[in-house]
Amino acid sequence: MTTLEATDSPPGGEPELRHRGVAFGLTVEASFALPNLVVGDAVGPPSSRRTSIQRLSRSAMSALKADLGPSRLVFERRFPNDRPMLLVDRLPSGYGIWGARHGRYIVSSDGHSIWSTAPRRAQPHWQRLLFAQVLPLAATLQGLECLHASCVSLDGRAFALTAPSGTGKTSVCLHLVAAGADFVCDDVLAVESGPDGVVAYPGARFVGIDPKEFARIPPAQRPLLGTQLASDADSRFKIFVEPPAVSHGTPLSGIYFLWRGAAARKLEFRSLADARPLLASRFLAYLTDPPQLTAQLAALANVADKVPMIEVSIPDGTSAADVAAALQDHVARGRHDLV
Amino acid sequence: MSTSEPSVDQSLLDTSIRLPQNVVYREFPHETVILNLDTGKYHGVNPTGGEMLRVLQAAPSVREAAAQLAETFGRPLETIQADLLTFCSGLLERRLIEVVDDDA
Repeated sequence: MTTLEATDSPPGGEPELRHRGVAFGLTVEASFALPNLVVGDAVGPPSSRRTSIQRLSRSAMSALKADLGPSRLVFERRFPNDRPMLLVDRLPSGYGIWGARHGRYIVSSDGHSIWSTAPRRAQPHWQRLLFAQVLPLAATLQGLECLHASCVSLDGRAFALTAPSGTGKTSVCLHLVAAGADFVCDDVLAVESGPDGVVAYPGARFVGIDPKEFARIPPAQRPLLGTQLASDADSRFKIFVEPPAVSHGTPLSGIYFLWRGAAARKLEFRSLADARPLLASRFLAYLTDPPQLTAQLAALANVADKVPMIEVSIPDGTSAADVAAALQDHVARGRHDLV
Repeated sequence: MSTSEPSVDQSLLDTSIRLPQNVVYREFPHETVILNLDTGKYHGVNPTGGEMLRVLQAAPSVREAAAQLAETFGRPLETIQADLLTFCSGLLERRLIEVVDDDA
Protein backbone atom coordinates (compact mmCIF):
# COMPACT_ATOMS: atom_id res chain seq x y z
CA MET A 1 0.00 0.00 0.00
CA THR A 2 1.33 3.43 -0.90
CA THR A 3 1.45 6.26 1.61
CA LEU A 4 1.22 9.77 0.27
CA GLU A 5 3.93 12.13 1.41
CA ALA A 6 4.07 15.81 0.68
CA THR A 7 7.21 15.35 -1.37
CA ASP A 8 5.94 12.46 -3.48
CA SER A 9 6.33 12.87 -7.21
CA PRO A 10 3.74 11.47 -9.56
CA PRO A 11 4.61 8.60 -11.85
CA GLY A 12 6.71 10.02 -14.67
CA GLY A 13 8.82 12.48 -12.71
CA GLU A 14 8.62 15.92 -11.19
CA PRO A 15 6.63 18.43 -13.24
CA GLU A 16 7.39 22.11 -13.16
CA LEU A 17 4.98 24.07 -10.98
CA ARG A 18 4.88 27.15 -13.15
CA HIS A 19 1.48 28.54 -12.29
CA ARG A 20 1.01 30.30 -8.98
CA GLY A 21 -1.65 32.17 -7.10
CA VAL A 22 -3.49 32.33 -3.81
CA ALA A 23 -6.78 30.81 -2.77
CA PHE A 24 -8.39 30.00 0.57
CA GLY A 25 -5.33 31.17 2.51
CA LEU A 26 -2.95 28.94 0.57
CA THR A 27 -0.20 29.65 -1.89
CA VAL A 28 -1.15 27.42 -4.79
CA GLU A 29 1.39 26.12 -7.28
CA ALA A 30 0.23 24.09 -10.24
CA SER A 31 1.73 22.30 -13.20
CA PHE A 32 -1.12 23.60 -15.39
CA ALA A 33 -2.96 26.88 -15.80
CA LEU A 34 -5.72 27.70 -13.34
CA PRO A 35 -7.54 30.64 -14.87
CA ASN A 36 -9.62 31.49 -11.84
CA LEU A 37 -6.80 31.66 -9.36
CA VAL A 38 -6.21 35.02 -7.68
CA VAL A 39 -2.71 36.29 -8.33
CA GLY A 40 -1.08 36.82 -4.95
CA ASP A 41 0.43 40.08 -3.88
CA ALA A 42 3.80 40.56 -2.22
CA VAL A 43 2.42 39.64 1.18
CA GLY A 44 0.93 36.23 0.70
CA PRO A 45 -0.07 33.45 3.04
CA PRO A 46 2.63 32.06 5.33
CA SER A 47 5.12 30.02 3.33
CA SER A 48 4.20 26.96 5.37
CA ARG A 49 0.66 27.09 3.98
CA ARG A 50 0.95 26.01 0.41
CA THR A 51 -0.26 23.29 -1.85
CA SER A 52 1.03 21.93 -5.13
CA ILE A 53 -1.26 20.58 -7.83
CA GLN A 54 0.04 18.13 -10.38
CA ARG A 55 -1.82 16.75 -13.31
CA LEU A 56 -1.92 13.00 -13.97
CA SER A 57 -3.17 10.89 -16.82
CA ARG A 58 -6.28 8.82 -16.10
CA SER A 59 -4.26 5.62 -15.99
CA ALA A 60 -1.70 7.13 -13.58
CA MET A 61 -4.52 8.40 -11.33
CA SER A 62 -6.19 4.97 -11.30
CA ALA A 63 -2.89 3.33 -10.43
CA LEU A 64 -2.25 5.85 -7.64
CA LYS A 65 -5.71 5.38 -6.18
CA ALA A 66 -5.35 1.60 -6.27
CA ASP A 67 -1.95 1.82 -4.57
CA LEU A 68 -3.30 3.98 -1.76
CA GLY A 69 -5.44 1.20 -0.42
CA PRO A 70 -9.11 0.78 0.42
CA SER A 71 -11.36 3.82 0.31
CA ARG A 72 -14.46 4.68 2.32
CA LEU A 73 -17.19 6.90 0.91
CA VAL A 74 -17.69 9.83 3.29
CA PHE A 75 -19.82 12.16 1.20
CA GLU A 76 -22.00 11.96 -1.89
CA ARG A 77 -24.32 14.25 -3.77
CA ARG A 78 -26.59 13.02 -6.55
CA PHE A 79 -28.49 14.46 -9.47
CA PRO A 80 -32.30 14.25 -9.41
CA ASN A 81 -32.03 11.14 -11.60
CA ASP A 82 -29.89 9.57 -8.84
CA ARG A 83 -26.71 9.57 -10.90
CA PRO A 84 -23.69 10.56 -8.81
CA MET A 85 -22.68 14.21 -8.98
CA LEU A 86 -19.97 14.44 -6.33
CA LEU A 87 -18.22 11.66 -4.40
CA VAL A 88 -15.65 12.07 -1.62
CA ASP A 89 -13.69 9.06 -0.38
CA ARG A 90 -11.52 8.79 2.69
CA LEU A 91 -8.26 7.10 1.76
CA PRO A 92 -5.68 5.76 4.20
CA SER A 93 -3.47 8.80 3.57
CA GLY A 94 -5.74 11.39 2.07
CA TYR A 95 -9.01 12.04 0.30
CA GLY A 96 -10.31 11.27 -3.18
CA ILE A 97 -12.79 13.64 -4.80
CA TRP A 98 -14.66 12.92 -8.03
CA GLY A 99 -17.15 15.17 -9.78
CA ALA A 100 -19.30 14.29 -12.80
CA ARG A 101 -17.72 16.08 -15.81
CA HIS A 102 -15.24 17.72 -13.44
CA GLY A 103 -12.51 15.14 -13.09
CA ARG A 104 -10.86 13.40 -10.18
CA TYR A 105 -8.54 14.62 -7.45
CA ILE A 106 -6.53 13.11 -4.65
CA VAL A 107 -5.54 15.31 -1.70
CA SER A 108 -2.83 14.26 0.74
CA SER A 109 -3.73 14.07 4.44
CA ASP A 110 -1.74 17.20 5.21
CA GLY A 111 -3.30 19.14 2.32
CA HIS A 112 0.08 20.01 0.81
CA SER A 113 -0.26 17.89 -2.33
CA ILE A 114 -3.04 17.48 -4.85
CA TRP A 115 -3.13 15.24 -7.89
CA SER A 116 -5.63 16.01 -10.62
CA THR A 117 -7.09 14.28 -13.67
CA ALA A 118 -9.30 16.00 -16.20
CA PRO A 119 -12.67 14.41 -17.10
CA ARG A 120 -13.06 12.45 -20.34
CA ARG A 121 -14.98 15.29 -21.96
CA ALA A 122 -13.45 18.35 -20.36
CA GLN A 123 -15.75 21.36 -20.37
CA PRO A 124 -14.12 24.81 -20.39
CA HIS A 125 -14.54 25.19 -16.65
CA TRP A 126 -13.90 21.66 -15.47
CA GLN A 127 -11.59 23.02 -12.76
CA ARG A 128 -14.49 24.45 -10.82
CA LEU A 129 -14.43 21.37 -8.60
CA LEU A 130 -10.92 22.35 -7.58
CA PHE A 131 -12.24 25.61 -6.15
CA ALA A 132 -15.59 24.29 -4.96
CA GLN A 133 -14.27 21.33 -2.97
CA VAL A 134 -10.61 20.39 -3.42
CA LEU A 135 -8.79 23.58 -2.37
CA PRO A 136 -11.18 24.20 0.55
CA LEU A 137 -10.33 20.69 1.74
CA ALA A 138 -6.59 21.36 1.39
CA ALA A 139 -7.00 24.62 3.34
CA THR A 140 -8.93 22.91 6.12
CA LEU A 141 -6.35 20.14 6.38
CA GLN A 142 -3.73 22.87 6.84
CA GLY A 143 -5.55 24.43 9.78
CA LEU A 144 -7.94 26.96 8.26
CA GLU A 145 -11.68 26.80 8.73
CA CYS A 146 -14.07 26.92 5.79
CA LEU A 147 -17.58 28.30 6.04
CA HIS A 148 -20.41 28.00 3.55
CA ALA A 149 -20.52 31.71 2.90
CA SER A 150 -20.00 34.44 0.35
CA CYS A 151 -17.91 37.45 1.32
CA VAL A 152 -17.21 41.02 0.26
CA SER A 153 -14.86 43.67 1.54
CA LEU A 154 -16.00 47.20 2.32
CA ASP A 155 -13.33 49.76 3.22
CA GLY A 156 -10.81 47.03 3.96
CA ARG A 157 -13.12 45.00 6.19
CA ALA A 158 -14.62 41.68 5.19
CA PHE A 159 -18.27 40.83 5.72
CA ALA A 160 -19.53 37.30 5.23
CA LEU A 161 -23.00 36.31 4.10
CA THR A 162 -24.29 32.91 4.98
CA ALA A 163 -27.70 31.42 4.31
CA PRO A 164 -29.48 28.22 3.31
CA SER A 165 -29.18 27.46 -0.40
CA GLY A 166 -31.71 29.41 -2.41
CA THR A 167 -31.88 32.38 -0.05
CA GLY A 168 -29.88 34.56 -2.42
CA LYS A 169 -26.53 35.12 -0.74
CA THR A 170 -24.67 35.00 -4.08
CA SER A 171 -27.10 37.49 -5.60
CA VAL A 172 -26.76 39.81 -2.60
CA CYS A 173 -22.99 39.44 -2.78
CA LEU A 174 -22.92 40.41 -6.46
CA HIS A 175 -25.24 43.37 -5.96
CA LEU A 176 -22.79 44.58 -3.31
CA VAL A 177 -19.89 44.13 -5.73
CA ALA A 178 -21.83 45.97 -8.44
CA ALA A 179 -22.31 48.81 -5.93
CA GLY A 180 -18.56 49.04 -5.29
CA ALA A 181 -17.66 46.41 -2.71
CA ASP A 182 -14.58 44.28 -3.32
CA PHE A 183 -15.22 40.62 -4.04
CA VAL A 184 -13.64 38.13 -1.64
CA CYS A 185 -15.36 34.85 -2.45
CA ASP A 186 -18.58 33.07 -3.24
CA ASP A 187 -19.95 29.96 -1.55
CA VAL A 188 -16.81 28.96 0.39
CA LEU A 189 -14.99 31.31 2.76
CA ALA A 190 -11.69 30.29 4.36
CA VAL A 191 -11.01 31.98 7.68
CA GLU A 192 -8.18 31.89 10.13
CA SER A 193 -8.90 32.76 13.73
CA GLY A 194 -6.21 33.93 16.07
CA PRO A 195 -5.77 35.89 19.28
CA ASP A 196 -6.02 39.22 17.45
CA GLY A 197 -9.03 38.47 15.32
CA VAL A 198 -10.27 36.53 12.34
CA VAL A 199 -8.92 36.85 8.80
CA ALA A 200 -11.00 36.10 5.70
CA TYR A 201 -9.19 34.82 2.60
CA PRO A 202 -10.15 35.13 -1.07
CA GLY A 203 -11.38 32.08 -2.91
CA ALA A 204 -11.83 31.55 -6.62
CA ARG A 205 -12.30 34.41 -9.02
CA PHE A 206 -15.57 33.34 -10.53
CA VAL A 207 -19.21 33.44 -9.58
CA GLY A 208 -22.32 31.93 -11.15
CA ILE A 209 -25.38 34.13 -11.15
CA ASP A 210 -28.95 33.55 -12.20
CA PRO A 211 -29.43 35.33 -15.59
CA LYS A 212 -32.60 37.01 -14.25
CA GLU A 213 -30.64 38.42 -11.31
CA PHE A 214 -27.85 39.53 -13.63
CA ALA A 215 -30.42 41.41 -15.69
CA ARG A 216 -31.52 43.30 -12.57
CA ILE A 217 -28.06 44.79 -12.08
CA PRO A 218 -28.01 48.23 -13.73
CA PRO A 219 -26.03 48.06 -17.00
CA ALA A 220 -23.73 50.84 -15.81
CA GLN A 221 -22.72 48.71 -12.82
CA ARG A 222 -22.18 45.42 -14.64
CA PRO A 223 -18.54 46.16 -15.56
CA LEU A 224 -17.77 46.03 -11.83
CA LEU A 225 -18.65 42.35 -11.92
CA GLY A 226 -15.69 41.73 -14.21
CA THR A 227 -15.41 39.63 -17.32
CA GLN A 228 -18.27 37.42 -18.39
CA LEU A 229 -16.87 33.94 -18.92
CA ALA A 230 -17.51 31.65 -21.87
CA SER A 231 -20.56 29.46 -21.59
CA ASP A 232 -20.53 25.72 -21.30
CA ALA A 233 -23.16 23.05 -20.70
CA ASP A 234 -23.38 24.07 -17.05
CA SER A 235 -24.02 27.69 -18.05
CA ARG A 236 -27.52 27.04 -19.35
CA PHE A 237 -28.84 28.13 -16.01
CA LYS A 238 -26.17 30.58 -14.91
CA ILE A 239 -23.99 33.39 -16.14
CA PHE A 240 -20.43 33.14 -14.88
CA VAL A 241 -18.43 36.26 -14.17
CA GLU A 242 -14.87 36.82 -13.08
CA PRO A 243 -14.89 39.78 -10.69
CA PRO A 244 -11.74 41.56 -9.61
CA ALA A 245 -10.93 40.14 -6.22
CA VAL A 246 -8.90 41.05 -3.18
CA SER A 247 -5.63 39.17 -3.24
CA HIS A 248 -4.87 39.02 0.48
CA GLY A 249 -6.45 38.24 3.82
CA THR A 250 -8.86 40.82 5.20
CA PRO A 251 -10.09 41.24 8.79
CA LEU A 252 -13.51 39.61 9.13
CA SER A 253 -15.70 42.26 10.69
CA GLY A 254 -19.17 40.72 10.58
CA ILE A 255 -21.13 37.64 9.60
CA TYR A 256 -24.64 38.19 8.28
CA PHE A 257 -26.98 35.20 8.50
CA LEU A 258 -29.74 35.65 5.95
CA TRP A 259 -33.07 33.94 6.15
CA ARG A 260 -36.25 34.36 4.14
CA GLY A 261 -39.70 33.34 5.16
CA ALA A 262 -43.29 34.24 5.77
CA ALA A 263 -42.44 34.84 9.44
CA ALA A 264 -40.24 37.79 8.45
CA ARG A 265 -42.51 40.83 8.47
CA LYS A 266 -39.88 43.35 7.50
CA LEU A 267 -36.24 43.49 6.48
CA GLU A 268 -34.58 43.55 9.86
CA PHE A 269 -31.14 43.18 11.41
CA ARG A 270 -30.73 41.64 14.88
CA SER A 271 -27.80 40.55 16.96
CA LEU A 272 -27.51 36.77 16.82
CA ALA A 273 -26.91 35.03 20.14
CA ASP A 274 -27.48 31.48 18.93
CA ALA A 275 -24.38 29.49 17.97
CA ARG A 276 -26.30 27.07 15.79
CA PRO A 277 -26.30 29.05 12.51
CA LEU A 278 -22.51 29.40 12.74
CA LEU A 279 -22.09 25.70 13.48
CA ALA A 280 -24.44 24.90 10.60
CA SER A 281 -22.36 26.99 8.19
CA ARG A 282 -19.36 24.69 8.51
CA PHE A 283 -18.22 23.56 5.11
CA LEU A 284 -16.93 20.02 4.61
CA ALA A 285 -19.15 18.39 7.22
CA TYR A 286 -17.64 15.02 6.25
CA LEU A 287 -14.44 15.89 8.14
CA THR A 288 -15.30 14.03 11.32
CA ASP A 289 -11.99 12.82 12.74
CA PRO A 290 -11.96 13.82 16.43
CA PRO A 291 -8.93 16.13 16.10
CA GLN A 292 -10.61 17.85 13.12
CA LEU A 293 -13.89 18.30 14.98
CA THR A 294 -12.13 19.57 18.11
CA ALA A 295 -10.08 22.09 16.16
CA GLN A 296 -13.16 23.18 14.24
CA LEU A 297 -15.16 23.78 17.43
CA ALA A 298 -12.34 25.85 18.91
CA ALA A 299 -12.01 27.89 15.70
CA LEU A 300 -15.74 28.59 15.53
CA ALA A 301 -15.84 29.55 19.22
CA ASN A 302 -13.07 32.05 18.49
CA VAL A 303 -14.95 33.39 15.46
CA ALA A 304 -18.10 33.80 17.53
CA ASP A 305 -16.11 35.58 20.23
CA LYS A 306 -14.39 38.04 17.91
CA VAL A 307 -16.79 38.65 15.03
CA PRO A 308 -20.23 40.26 15.37
CA MET A 309 -22.95 37.92 14.14
CA ILE A 310 -26.09 39.49 12.75
CA GLU A 311 -29.31 37.80 11.73
CA VAL A 312 -31.08 39.34 8.72
CA SER A 313 -34.72 38.44 8.33
CA ILE A 314 -35.95 38.96 4.78
CA PRO A 315 -39.65 38.99 3.90
CA ASP A 316 -40.67 36.93 0.89
CA GLY A 317 -40.51 39.02 -2.27
CA THR A 318 -37.68 41.28 -1.10
CA SER A 319 -35.15 41.67 -3.89
CA ALA A 320 -31.47 40.85 -3.53
CA ALA A 321 -30.74 44.45 -4.54
CA ASP A 322 -32.78 45.76 -1.60
CA VAL A 323 -31.06 43.37 0.80
CA ALA A 324 -27.67 44.45 -0.50
CA ALA A 325 -28.55 48.14 -0.11
CA ALA A 326 -29.79 47.60 3.44
CA LEU A 327 -26.73 45.60 4.33
CA GLN A 328 -24.42 48.24 2.91
CA ASP A 329 -26.25 50.85 4.94
CA HIS A 330 -25.99 48.69 8.08
CA VAL A 331 -22.22 48.45 7.62
CA ALA A 332 -21.82 52.12 6.78
CA ARG A 333 -23.61 53.15 9.97
CA GLY A 334 -21.31 50.92 12.01
CA ARG A 335 -24.27 48.97 13.32
CA HIS A 336 -22.49 45.64 12.96
CA ASP A 337 -20.09 46.81 15.65
CA LEU A 338 -22.87 47.68 18.05
CA VAL A 339 -24.36 44.22 18.23
CA MET B 1 -40.08 21.44 42.31
CA SER B 2 -43.54 19.95 41.68
CA THR B 3 -44.38 16.46 42.92
CA SER B 4 -45.17 15.34 39.38
CA GLU B 5 -41.55 15.76 38.19
CA PRO B 6 -39.48 12.57 38.03
CA SER B 7 -37.05 12.22 40.95
CA VAL B 8 -33.34 12.38 40.24
CA ASP B 9 -30.71 10.09 41.64
CA GLN B 10 -29.61 11.68 44.94
CA SER B 11 -26.67 9.30 45.17
CA LEU B 12 -25.03 11.33 42.40
CA LEU B 13 -24.28 13.99 45.01
CA ASP B 14 -21.43 11.94 46.42
CA THR B 15 -19.89 11.02 43.08
CA SER B 16 -17.29 12.73 40.98
CA ILE B 17 -18.10 13.66 37.39
CA ARG B 18 -15.86 13.90 34.36
CA LEU B 19 -16.18 14.35 30.64
CA PRO B 20 -15.54 11.16 28.62
CA GLN B 21 -12.64 11.30 26.20
CA ASN B 22 -15.00 11.59 23.26
CA VAL B 23 -16.63 14.79 24.59
CA VAL B 24 -15.25 18.34 24.32
CA TYR B 25 -16.82 21.72 24.91
CA ARG B 26 -16.12 25.36 24.12
CA GLU B 27 -17.63 28.58 25.36
CA PHE B 28 -19.46 30.72 22.82
CA PRO B 29 -20.60 34.27 23.67
CA HIS B 30 -24.08 33.27 24.84
CA GLU B 31 -23.84 29.55 25.44
CA THR B 32 -21.52 26.60 25.90
CA VAL B 33 -21.44 24.09 23.07
CA ILE B 34 -20.68 20.49 23.94
CA LEU B 35 -19.58 18.19 21.13
CA ASN B 36 -19.74 14.41 21.13
CA LEU B 37 -16.80 13.48 18.91
CA ASP B 38 -18.15 9.99 18.29
CA THR B 39 -21.52 11.10 16.96
CA GLY B 40 -20.54 14.58 15.68
CA LYS B 41 -23.59 15.92 17.50
CA TYR B 42 -23.56 19.35 19.16
CA HIS B 43 -25.42 20.18 22.37
CA GLY B 44 -25.93 23.71 23.63
CA VAL B 45 -26.32 24.74 27.25
CA ASN B 46 -27.07 28.21 28.54
CA PRO B 47 -24.48 30.21 30.51
CA THR B 48 -25.71 28.77 33.81
CA GLY B 49 -25.31 25.25 32.44
CA GLY B 50 -21.87 26.17 31.16
CA GLU B 51 -20.81 27.34 34.60
CA MET B 52 -22.24 24.16 36.14
CA LEU B 53 -20.23 22.06 33.70
CA ARG B 54 -16.99 23.87 34.46
CA VAL B 55 -17.45 23.60 38.24
CA LEU B 56 -18.51 19.94 38.02
CA GLN B 57 -15.30 19.06 36.22
CA ALA B 58 -13.11 20.76 38.78
CA ALA B 59 -14.90 19.81 41.99
CA PRO B 60 -14.15 16.53 43.80
CA SER B 61 -17.85 15.70 44.03
CA VAL B 62 -21.24 16.88 42.80
CA ARG B 63 -22.06 17.88 46.39
CA GLU B 64 -19.05 20.19 46.56
CA ALA B 65 -19.83 21.57 43.11
CA ALA B 66 -23.32 22.42 44.33
CA ALA B 67 -21.91 24.21 47.38
CA GLN B 68 -19.62 26.27 45.19
CA LEU B 69 -22.39 27.11 42.73
CA ALA B 70 -24.78 28.08 45.53
CA GLU B 71 -22.25 30.64 46.65
CA THR B 72 -21.57 31.86 43.11
CA PHE B 73 -25.22 32.27 42.20
CA GLY B 74 -26.37 33.36 45.67
CA ARG B 75 -29.11 30.73 45.72
CA PRO B 76 -30.18 28.24 48.44
CA LEU B 77 -28.06 25.09 48.51
CA GLU B 78 -31.09 22.78 48.25
CA THR B 79 -32.28 24.53 45.10
CA ILE B 80 -28.87 24.36 43.47
CA GLN B 81 -28.47 20.69 44.43
CA ALA B 82 -31.79 19.85 42.81
CA ASP B 83 -30.96 21.87 39.67
CA LEU B 84 -27.50 20.36 39.44
CA LEU B 85 -28.79 16.80 39.82
CA THR B 86 -31.35 17.40 37.06
CA PHE B 87 -28.60 18.85 34.88
CA CYS B 88 -26.31 15.88 35.53
CA SER B 89 -29.11 13.43 34.78
CA GLY B 90 -29.67 15.08 31.42
CA LEU B 91 -25.98 15.01 30.57
CA LEU B 92 -25.66 11.38 31.70
CA GLU B 93 -28.63 10.40 29.57
CA ARG B 94 -26.91 11.97 26.55
CA ARG B 95 -23.57 10.38 27.55
CA LEU B 96 -21.91 13.75 27.76
CA ILE B 97 -20.53 13.10 31.25
CA GLU B 98 -19.66 9.99 33.18
CA VAL B 99 -19.36 9.11 36.82
CA VAL B 100 -15.79 8.54 37.93
CA ASP B 101 -15.48 5.00 39.23
CA ASP B 102 -13.32 5.23 42.34
CA ASP B 103 -12.88 1.49 42.38
CA ALA B 104 -11.38 1.36 38.87
